Amino acid sequence: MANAIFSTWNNKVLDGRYNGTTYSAEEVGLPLTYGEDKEFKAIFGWNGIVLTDDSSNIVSLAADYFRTVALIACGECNVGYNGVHLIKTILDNLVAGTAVPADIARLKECIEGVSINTKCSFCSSAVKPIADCLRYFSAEFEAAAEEHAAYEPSNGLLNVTAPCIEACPIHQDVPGYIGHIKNHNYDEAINLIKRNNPLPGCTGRACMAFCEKNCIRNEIDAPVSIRKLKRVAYDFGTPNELVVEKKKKDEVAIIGAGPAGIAAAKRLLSLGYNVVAYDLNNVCGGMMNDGIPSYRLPREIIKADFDEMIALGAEYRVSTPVRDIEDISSHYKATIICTGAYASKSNGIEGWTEGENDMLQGVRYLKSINNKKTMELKNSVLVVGGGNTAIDCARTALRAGSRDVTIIYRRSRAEMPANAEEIDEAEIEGVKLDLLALPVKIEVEENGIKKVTCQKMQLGEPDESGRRRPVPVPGSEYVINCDMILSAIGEKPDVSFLNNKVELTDWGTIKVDKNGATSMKGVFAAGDCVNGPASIVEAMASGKRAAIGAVMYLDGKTTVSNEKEEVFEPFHKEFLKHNLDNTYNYARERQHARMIDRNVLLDNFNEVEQVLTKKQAVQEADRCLKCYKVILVTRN
Amino acid sequence: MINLTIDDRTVSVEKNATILQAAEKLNIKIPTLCYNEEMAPIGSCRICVVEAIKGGESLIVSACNTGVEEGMKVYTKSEKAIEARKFAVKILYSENPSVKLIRDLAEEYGVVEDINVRKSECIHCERCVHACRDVVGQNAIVLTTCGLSYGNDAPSLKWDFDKCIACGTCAFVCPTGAVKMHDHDGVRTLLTPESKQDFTLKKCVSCGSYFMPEVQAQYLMKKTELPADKFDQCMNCR
Ligand SMILES: Cc1cc2nc3c(=O)[nH]c(=O)nc-3n(C[C@H](O)[C@H](O)[C@H](O)COP(=O)(O)OP(=O)(O)OC[C@H]3O[C@@H](n4cnc5c(N)ncnc54)[C@H](O)[C@@H]3O)c2cc1C
Ligand code: SF4
Ligand code: SF4
Ligand code: SF4
Ligand code: FES
Repeated sequence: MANAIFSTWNNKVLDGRYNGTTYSAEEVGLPLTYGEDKEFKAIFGWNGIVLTDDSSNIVSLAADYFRTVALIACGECNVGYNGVHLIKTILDNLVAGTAVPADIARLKECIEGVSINTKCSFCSSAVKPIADCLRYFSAEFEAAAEEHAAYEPSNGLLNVTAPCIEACPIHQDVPGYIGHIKNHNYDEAINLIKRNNPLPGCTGRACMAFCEKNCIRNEIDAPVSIRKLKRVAYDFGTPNELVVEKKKKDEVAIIGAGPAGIAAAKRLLSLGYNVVAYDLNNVCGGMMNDGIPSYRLPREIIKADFDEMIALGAEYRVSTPVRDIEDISSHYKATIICTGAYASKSNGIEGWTEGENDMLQGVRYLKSINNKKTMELKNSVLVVGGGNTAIDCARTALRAGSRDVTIIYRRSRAEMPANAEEIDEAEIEGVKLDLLALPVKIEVEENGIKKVTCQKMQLGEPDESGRRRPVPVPGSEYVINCDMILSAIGEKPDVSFLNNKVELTDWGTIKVDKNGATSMKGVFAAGDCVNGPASIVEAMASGKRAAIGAVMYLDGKTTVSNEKEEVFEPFHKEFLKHNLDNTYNYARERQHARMIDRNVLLDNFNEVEQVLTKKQAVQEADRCLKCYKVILVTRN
Repeated sequence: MINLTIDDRTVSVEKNATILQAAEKLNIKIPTLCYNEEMAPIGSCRICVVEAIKGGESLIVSACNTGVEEGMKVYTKSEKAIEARKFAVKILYSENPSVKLIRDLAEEYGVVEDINVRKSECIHCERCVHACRDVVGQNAIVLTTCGLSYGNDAPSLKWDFDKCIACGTCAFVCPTGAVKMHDHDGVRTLLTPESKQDFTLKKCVSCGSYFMPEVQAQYLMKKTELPADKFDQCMNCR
């Protein structure tokens, strides 16, 4: 186990350089190893300096770290940009052997000036390790200014991230594209987004926005509207055409044309592989097409994202259900399963007759309506569940013509897994919520009306998910009448086509290793069929990983190809943290998008949320504090 | 109303007021450069910094865009505030020593050293960008900033002359004179830090004097939906 001899991480100074004391990773508060016990030599980052031995050249570390800082300093404030560039010049001169002794005092002055007076928090926080250098390594710096000797570069590995970037499963450069939008540079914004996101249109409208949940502005007022800004970039920007290398390598099969499938396809295409994707549906998009209603995600947006992949050379064989995994896997050297989570969990309601008597699983209902199958109109609809699927079912039912729509959920509003904004939207549109209630029995009357016996619930102790467990209130049964009941209590993968040839987990999802490989040779899996019902962006992240796994397998490699990912993985928690330092950040209102008028009859599936205006977008972009974190590590 | 003290004098101001506005009320002068009262604060020059104590913590903040808070104690001339401001002046002076306004500030703060090489009159305060966007509504000036993936060495301002209506607002708000505009021989010339553009001026059909750039007349015509002949005469002859 590596120990540190010196650390200033997170303002905790541990200095064993002169007395031989060493400090464990716990004491330092930062991992000192990565992968399988490989050791860091030096860690030089936004939050301090950590050394595990005395062989590092601190001046080279500082200069190498700071060159990246200077690339990020945006130029929107005088002190930040000019100060950072002065510091960079001095550090570069120090390692080149061209500095003069007076430069050290100048360096100190610049660091003090920059660390207290900048417009956003980036430059002021990025100078922290340099300030530490001058405080604890002044002898080394003074020597560098006097000796006029050139220093070897540190040969470290650099990473740049931010709390939002780190929270995003596909690590979108959020402050990067927000900066472009602030400068009205929509084309560059969308180009940047597309670098690691094959579904820019879909995610701009329907992403669950994990970035926003970890935006540092949560601590000040409200998160930056990152998803809406992505949509601004998509709607107003014209991206460059994507190009990929000419194909030369093997063909890889993908089963399922949803987000996981498209992300895998894009990665494979960009690495020069041919892709053939199979889907039982007649259109691409997976659950985005079958589940997410078009008033949240218009169909032409999904189509545009997939058309781009076709233009890049992916072959989509739609209307082609795969009935046995070996029908595919035996024809290709590698196969990636991306079949999603289409089966529904059973609801345990007495008298439930799936598919008959107007009792239907929510995703089946959505799939029918979304694919424009005609359905008999039912006036009163009861939706069971509290997640996004339940909300989508209820709002869809309203648009399909039902006038009396109620969501019944066994816990209270605060525990509903659905996005709070979505719940508000549903209520605005007239959906009723029956909270703390559970349907237990259904009886079908002669005239088709269903009498649903419900039980009132109250919240008890928290369960394993941390949410308070609902417990029945004795003697509180009541009856609701309705014409249709939709069950939306959760989905799970439909793995019948695997015919027990591929190993599953206890939860019925496909079991994979960290490269996405299943128990069947040459077969990989990604997306909801591995994660359980999750999100578009998680499916994409997992699809990419499986594509890399497949490529490694085809190339006969066993080691992780992505060294950088392995090295910085231990810092994930540290990257997610909010360091709201010395800059004072004033509250500024989050911009809201215009919604279509819902006081009129909702008889269509027109998109509800409108794009932010350019003016709003600039104001919203201006709220971003550019919380970039730069880190440089060297290894033994 | 919010109560706070500035240099130990009490003042109460509206909830949404900034420290700068509160100081104005007490006639306490805080130097500014990028701030223009007709526009929302920009916060780019960092000259207006003051020391603010809130909850026992001392912070350096820009007065122009920081909101007041109940019980806040602000010091505009404390040692810490002056040091921070002096550094901002120093760094501006080293970049743009030719600008009179900055030379004056440098003199006031005792800055003599000239430490850098890049020299220009533009200090990237963004006043022109915001004025053209928020006051004129033409959005013709784009600030190109730097960033990891941006590929720019330095921030720069680009004028989009398809959008520009030659109104001169940018030249008017520029604090350093980096943007200039003048009329000569039936032409209006706009000089920006990186470009020069000529606009033809319209001649009054009655008196023969030049009165308005062609592009501006077209813009007004479109905006007001008035017939073209309404724009043939100057203000005096109309
Ligand atoms: C109602 C609803 C609303 C949602 N809203 C959101 C949202 O707003 N934001 C968000 O991020 N996520 C949302 N999700 C979740 C999101 O849609 C999924 O997490 C995501 O689509 C999963 O992607 P995937 O590629 O793993 O699988 P899927 O998108 O499910 O795609 C699987 C594909 O495989 C095909 N397939 C399956 N079996 C076979 C077979 N045997 N042969 C051939 N093809 C097959 C299917 O037809 C389908 O096209 C929602 C889900 C639902 C149900
Ligand atoms: S990144 Fe922030 S602190 Fe640095 S120059 Fe830009 S606005 Fe100023
Ligand atoms: S303020 Fe900007 S950089 Fe910081 S977490 Fe939020 S979106 Fe990301
Ligand atoms: S002259 Fe042109 S660029 Fe300057 S403010 Fe007017 S419209 Fe904008
Ligand atoms: S006047 Fe406040 S930052 Fe420029």
